[in-house]
Amino acid sequence: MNDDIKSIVIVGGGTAGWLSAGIIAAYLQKHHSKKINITLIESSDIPTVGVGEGTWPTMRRTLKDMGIRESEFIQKCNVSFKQGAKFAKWITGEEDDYYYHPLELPTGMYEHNLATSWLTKNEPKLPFAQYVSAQQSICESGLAPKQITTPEFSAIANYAYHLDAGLFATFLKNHCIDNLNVKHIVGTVVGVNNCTNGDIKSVSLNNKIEIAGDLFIDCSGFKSLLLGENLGVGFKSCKDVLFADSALAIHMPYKDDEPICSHTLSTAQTSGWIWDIGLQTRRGIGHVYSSKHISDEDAKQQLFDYLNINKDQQSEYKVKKLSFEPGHREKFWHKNCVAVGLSAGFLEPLEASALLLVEISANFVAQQFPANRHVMNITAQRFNRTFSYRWERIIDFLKLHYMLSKRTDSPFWQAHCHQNTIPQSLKDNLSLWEFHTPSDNHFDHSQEVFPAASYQYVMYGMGFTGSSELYGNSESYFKKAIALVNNNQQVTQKLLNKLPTNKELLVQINQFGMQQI
Amino acid sequence: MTNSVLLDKNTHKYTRIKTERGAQYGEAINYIPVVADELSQLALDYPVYFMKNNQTGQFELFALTGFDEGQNLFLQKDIWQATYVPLHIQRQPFKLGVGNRLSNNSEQTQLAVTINEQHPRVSNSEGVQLFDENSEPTAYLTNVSEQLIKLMNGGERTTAFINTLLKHDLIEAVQLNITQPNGKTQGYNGLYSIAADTLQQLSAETLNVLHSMGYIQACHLIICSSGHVQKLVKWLHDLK
Repeated sequence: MNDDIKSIVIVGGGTAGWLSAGIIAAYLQKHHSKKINITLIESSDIPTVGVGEGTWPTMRRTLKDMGIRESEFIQKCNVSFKQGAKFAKWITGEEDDYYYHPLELPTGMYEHNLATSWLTKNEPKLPFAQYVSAQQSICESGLAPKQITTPEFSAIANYAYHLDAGLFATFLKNHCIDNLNVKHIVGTVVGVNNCTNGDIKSVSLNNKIEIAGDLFIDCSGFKSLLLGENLGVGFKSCKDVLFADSALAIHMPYKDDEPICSHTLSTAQTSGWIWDIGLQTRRGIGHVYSSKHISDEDAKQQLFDYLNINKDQQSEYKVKKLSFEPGHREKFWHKNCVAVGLSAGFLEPLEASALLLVEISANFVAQQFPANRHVMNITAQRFNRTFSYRWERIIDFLKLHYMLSKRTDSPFWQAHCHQNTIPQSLKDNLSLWEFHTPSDNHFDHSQEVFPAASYQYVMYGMGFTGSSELYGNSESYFKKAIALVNNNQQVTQKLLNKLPTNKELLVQINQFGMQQI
Repeated sequence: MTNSVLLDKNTHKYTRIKTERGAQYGEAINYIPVVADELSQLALDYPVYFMKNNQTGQFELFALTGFDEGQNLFLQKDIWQATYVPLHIQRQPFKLGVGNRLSNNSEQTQLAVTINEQHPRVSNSEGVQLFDENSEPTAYLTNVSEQLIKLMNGGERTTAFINTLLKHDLIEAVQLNITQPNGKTQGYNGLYSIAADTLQQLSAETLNVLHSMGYIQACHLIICSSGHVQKLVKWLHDLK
């Protein structure tokens, strides 16, 4: 029986397509002697969506594993550093209402979960993120996560990136073609040809070329051309939990001497929230909202209000509108086709999970690459089980940001806090966390997309206190906890003195580059 | 920033330079920038490492002279404990600067010796003269000029040397663990040396190319030079 998997065809030349191509090609070439042909079909007449300007720290390893130089990536993709997210006006909506979800783990997360100490012995009242990590102070001071002498991909404070998705796709494309032997074909898919068993045999392009393959990766965007349209895999909406279904995006050049933020700023509005992401040369700003709760016109006005742009200047700005159904496919791998990126699903970019899902999906395909068509069904089953779980946990975690809010100023917030809109799994966890602080033991998988640390930052950032009958801790715990917290304050001072500003470091990197060691 | 002015045989006719060693001349520093051309002399006395420039992140070559800021273990009671003193120290208070443009060709610039008149070595009464009674440069000044040229050319050669090493992954981080006189072990980061294992595994072809440029010998000198760290530790303990 010769049904070995010898070729992969990726449909779609956006970020998801090129990122998948690069991750899979680099992994297979490094670990296996068997040659797998990878072809990517990019349409010249379908524009890419180009959202997803925020990444996770995982992107550092992803790029490094692909053999990319971080300096070059930063120079060519308008990249800036991201050390977490600052959530403004999510709790009360007041001017001074904000909290941080930094990327650094809380100090001593695994040995001495500091959350209990923060809940019971925190004097003077420091915000949770500041109590357990230096990163909030670093961000508030506009500082970078490292120095020019820090090697590429290494951090002093954990970091991810803000990037220009269009430039990033082009950068990855060049790298994949030049260094990873990925075959690039320009053409629009006009037909999908199936075998008798329902597998995809080939795709036909508008220039009469037919491309056959053993495994197809659908990176065709919202269209979900192969998995959704061709194979008829259904869509599972989560609009009853997460209401946002529209976005208005705008680019803003910096004014002179304006600093470059090293965190994503997310500011809650009456029926959604506004993202604010600093790249090297411009900010990318967008309003994500629920079209059921606010009109496009009013949403646009809120965006302009946020940017202090008055009525007569508004016509000078190009605003891009995006509509989406929040949710994901019922399954992601069906027959010999796996969907990666928007074709698999999309949620509001509250925690920048879009590119992360591309990374972990492509890594799954690469690391568990099916040897032949026969075993592919097993791999597909496992992929579907893992990623259904991942999507549910992401939905839970995004919902957490809303349901703990004390805002009641609009039907949007009232609906978000309504018990009927909260998934049972999230309710269950919060019931446990009345008495215990979140720990990784409370989750099914050893590696979660959002581990206990993320829950702690959002829950305690939003003022969740738990029950008065919280399980107490021993004397020795508190001794160690206090020592850790004191040490944390000292480390913070040291870092504030030695780190350059985010902008200074970006200028240095553009001029000199960083060393690999 | 120091204010250097062009050296001029009229202005500086009576200027003298104190040439003895000492902390008062800014020599109490724990590392000294050096060029690869000095390696054969340096390796006899100093541990030599690569370190990154704080402003650019680029590697530069240094002789290690102490373990803490302001600590130069080679300088003991103003006597330098080595036969060879790095050019960077010897050339003080002079450096090369851009001289006057030639009047008929505005494109061209000329390198010229400049002097930091505020430097504690500069005097009107003590030290070596720069110009003789005929306003000709003294042997001392001629020597300094040669050192400056050597440093400039050596700097360019050192950069090329370092870039080649990086290209072949021949530089690696080292961690020095020093036992302080109080018995505590202190680790020092930020030092880099030759990746000896990688050097061993170079292909014959690459070895040949690097050898013909003198880089292989330079690598071995740097590797061997690290033995002098033990001497520095001993001096550190003797201070107590």
